[in-house]
Parts: sequence; structure tokens; C-alpha cells
Amino acid sequence: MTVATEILAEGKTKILRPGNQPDEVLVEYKDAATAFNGKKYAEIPGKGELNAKISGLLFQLLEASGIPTCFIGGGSRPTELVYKRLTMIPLEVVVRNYAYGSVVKRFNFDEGMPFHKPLVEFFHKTNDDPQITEDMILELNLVPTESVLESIKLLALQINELFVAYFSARGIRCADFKLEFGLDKNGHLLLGDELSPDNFRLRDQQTGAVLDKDVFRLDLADLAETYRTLLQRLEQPVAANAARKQMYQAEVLVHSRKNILNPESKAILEGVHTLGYGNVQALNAGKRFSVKIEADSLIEAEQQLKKLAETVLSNPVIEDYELRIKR
Amino acid sequence: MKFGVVVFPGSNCERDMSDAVKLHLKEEAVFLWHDDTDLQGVDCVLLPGGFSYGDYLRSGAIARFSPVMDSVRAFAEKGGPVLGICNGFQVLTEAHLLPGALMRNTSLKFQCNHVDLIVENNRSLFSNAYQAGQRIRLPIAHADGNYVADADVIQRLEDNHQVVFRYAEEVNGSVNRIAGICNEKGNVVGMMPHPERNLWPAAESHGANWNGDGRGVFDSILKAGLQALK
Repeated sequence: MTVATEILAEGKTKILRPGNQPDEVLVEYKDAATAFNGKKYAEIPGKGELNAKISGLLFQLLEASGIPTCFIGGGSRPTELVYKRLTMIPLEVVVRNYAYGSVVKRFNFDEGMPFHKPLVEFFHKTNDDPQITEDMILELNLVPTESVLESIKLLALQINELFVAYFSARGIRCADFKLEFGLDKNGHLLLGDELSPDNFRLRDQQTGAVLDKDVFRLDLADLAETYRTLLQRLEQPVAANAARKQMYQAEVLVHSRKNILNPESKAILEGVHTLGYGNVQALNAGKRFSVKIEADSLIEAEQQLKKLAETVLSNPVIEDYELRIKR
Repeated sequence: MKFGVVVFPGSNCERDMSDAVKLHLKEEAVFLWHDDTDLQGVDCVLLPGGFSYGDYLRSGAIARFSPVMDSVRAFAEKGGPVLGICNGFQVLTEAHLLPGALMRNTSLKFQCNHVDLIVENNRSLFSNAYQAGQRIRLPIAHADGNYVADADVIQRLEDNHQVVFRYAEEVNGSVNRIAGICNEKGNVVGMMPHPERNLWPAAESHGANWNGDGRGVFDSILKAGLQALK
């Protein structure tokens, strides 16, 4: 086995090389640790291997739960993972359950305060990674369509549920984490990047001990030692928590398919014109269903709502539907 | 032959259907309740007109999920003859036993009238007593009779001669003036007009000369059924 030498890309903590298949890449996790946008830097022997292991573990967890990710498997070296090749979307997607880090400064939260519902925030991967609004993401064409952005938000929340349950079963509070997404050669949205403790804030539920890169940011403890202990905790078998039913709310919007003339819409539009609103160019009447659904997870809720929308609430011969699940 | 007339909450033509069987065909007819799954050994299933489940959601959409429909689907898949009239046709499309969908009439009106139809295909189980190309007159009474399907589905229906009845003139906006279709095997037929309401010649009433043109639909099934028994 020869190690590919060609480098496709190198970042602060990872090196990407061509994989054995044209649509695969080898991702080497480096021993480097950085913080404060690269202002703080250190080489920490063993970190690359630990991060590759933890990332692989968490990618497998998500894949097993039906989340589409770039992860294919382990590489030939312990610091290496094999990914599907993606065109990355230049966004950092941050999910927060508790207030830590930049959000504390920006909005004056008490550190460690729980949020009522998980928050999804976007940051633009450019100089200084500024926070970015959804309008600006669309304005800058950072995603191909608005529905991709909707999918990113829903996936981020679904992943958050999985992580919260997974870490909680191991006595760990998942306070926040960062995700990055990309599109494969078929344009499918997949989770990319890495799932190492570099990208998480994890706290011991009992002691509050820091189990993530904050130990390096704030010089609290030895990073490699912290990550090694974390990996051991993650690898230990635990009794799976019984799934807890949750109530989810959604809207299903049903309207006539394009190119299907809806006689009601046509009549309403004619009436609108008769009333003097000649400037109304188009009108499509539809139905809106407000749904409350109990499910084990957001993933299950989405699957069931899709099936409900496709088989009952809409008739695909003449209608399209839009599913909006509330946070 | 034994006929089963399915009764959904909101069906209102089930008596006309069973009368067509009993009085015209002189055969046995039983009612099949929507909540039952036992088809009582019938040889033919009839889905009557009406407003099943108040036409809530979409016409025929909720009836499709009735327990009896699982049995009707199994019966149809084994080649059993199934006829859906008006709301029954809507139920058959929602249940995907027939392709396409029935949308609101382009007039937006509930159209209660008599119309002329052309028998396009006289080889289905419910049209073989007619001559091909025969012009017949039947009543209609519907708000959602505007037949719609994707262009390729329409093409396939036309190519396979699955259009059984066509309106002689434009009525409700249906693509290609389609009034009734059958599945590929020809054992499942859906139609918007009501043959069971024109079985006996009668003096002119409501502006129409009722001439018994609807008999052919019921005679067809008996003819086909008797042949099968021979």
C-alpha cells in the first residue's frame, strides 16, 4: 500500500488526498491544535489519531440512524478516514443547546444557560467566519436552492437529537457543536467535515468537567489526555436509553402541481381581477394542514409526515406538497 | 351472479345500483359495508355514486382507506370485475386501481345533466354489450369529474384503448373528453356518468328521452360473467 502524496487540500487540522476511487478522498487528521481562528497553535502528538477515531465513531452513529454523511470507513493509517468526495458549502452550521462561547458575548447570556429550544446559527467560512443570515446565504448563492438550506437546518436538528441522546447516555452534556455540509456528485446533500471534540462543547453532567477543545483554548488540561478519556467513555458499552416520545409540530402545504390547471384557482384569480386587482399575476389555491405528531425522534417524525403527505394529504397525480417541521 | 354494492358513509346511489342488478338483471345483489372486509363471495363489485366521507380532503380520498377497499383491491388484482360510478370512479383513482385523478369541473359547478357519450372500447367487462363507436345518452351529476393525468399516462390510455367512454362534447374539462376508463386487464372500469339512472325507456322527463341506454353496462357484465361460467 502506497501513501498517496498528492495533496488536494490542506487545512488547519486535516489533509485531503485522492482516494482509491475517483469519488473518494482520504482525510488525514493532523496532530495540530488551533484556536481563536489560528492565533493559538500547538502540535499535540496523538491528537490526529484520537480525532479520527472519535469522528469515525460519531459518523457511524449518524449513518446508522439514517443521516446522509460523507463517511465511508477507516483509512489505511490510524489517522486517516475515507470520505465521499463533496463540493463543500462554505457554511459553518452551529447547533446550540446551552450558551457557551461567542453566543454569550454576542447576546449577553449567562454562560452555561440552557436554551428553550436548540438554536441553529450559520457562519460564513471566509475571513474571520462572520455570522450570516439566511437571506445573505441565498443572496451570496452559498447553497444551490432555498430548499437545500431548509434541509440543512432540519438535518442539523435531527443530528442534534441523536448527539444529545448519545452523549447523555454516557453522562455527557452536548452543549453545542459545529457541522459542515457538502453536495456529492449527484447533488445530494451530505454531512461532511469532521465530528471530533474540536467541533463540540461537551461537559461532564456530574462534575461540569470540560471534555472538548476548550481545555486547549482556555489552558484547562492536557488536550490529548482529555480526548483519550473521552474516547474511552464513548467506546464503553452503555444501555441504550429508551426512546422518549416527543411531540412535533409541522405544516403540510398542498397545492396543484405545476402545469395542472386548478379551476378553483383560475376562478379566484378571475374574481380578483374583476374586483380591480388587475395587477395580481398568479394565484394558486391550496390546502394547509397543521399537524401535531408524536414520534421517537425528529427523523421518525419527518419520515412519517412525508409518508402521510404523499399517501393521504396530497394526491401526487395532481398535487405537490411542502413539509415544514417546526423547531 | 351475485353482485356486491359497497356502501360508504355518504354513498347515495347504492339503492339504484342494487335495483339495476335486481330489477333489470334479475340477479342477486348484496350491500357490502365499508367497515367489513368480507366480500361475501360476490362475483362482481360495484362502487356507487355519492359523497363518501363528505368528499372531505378530496373526493374518494378517505373511502380509499376503508377496510373493504383492501378486499376490493385483492379482488380486482385477481381479475374480479369492479365497476366504479361517479364517486366510485373517484375512489378507484384515489386507490390507484385506475390511473389519473378527477379534479373540480372547469365550470366550477355541480353539473346535473344528461350527456351523449361515445363507446370507445366495447371489449371491457362493462362495455361489451355496446357497439364500438355507439352513441349513448346517460345522466351525469358531479362536481369533480374533470379527468386529469400526466401526458404519458393519457397517451398510454389512448394507445391501449383504455378509454371506454368519451363525452361526445366538452362537459367538464376532462382531458380528451374522457368520461370512463378501464385498467389494462379491462376488469376494472370507472366512469363519471350514471348508467344505473337510465335503465328503462320513459316519457320525456327533465328534458331527456330516457331510452334505457345504461342497460348495456350491466348487460355487459352478465354476458361476460355467463361466458366465464360456461
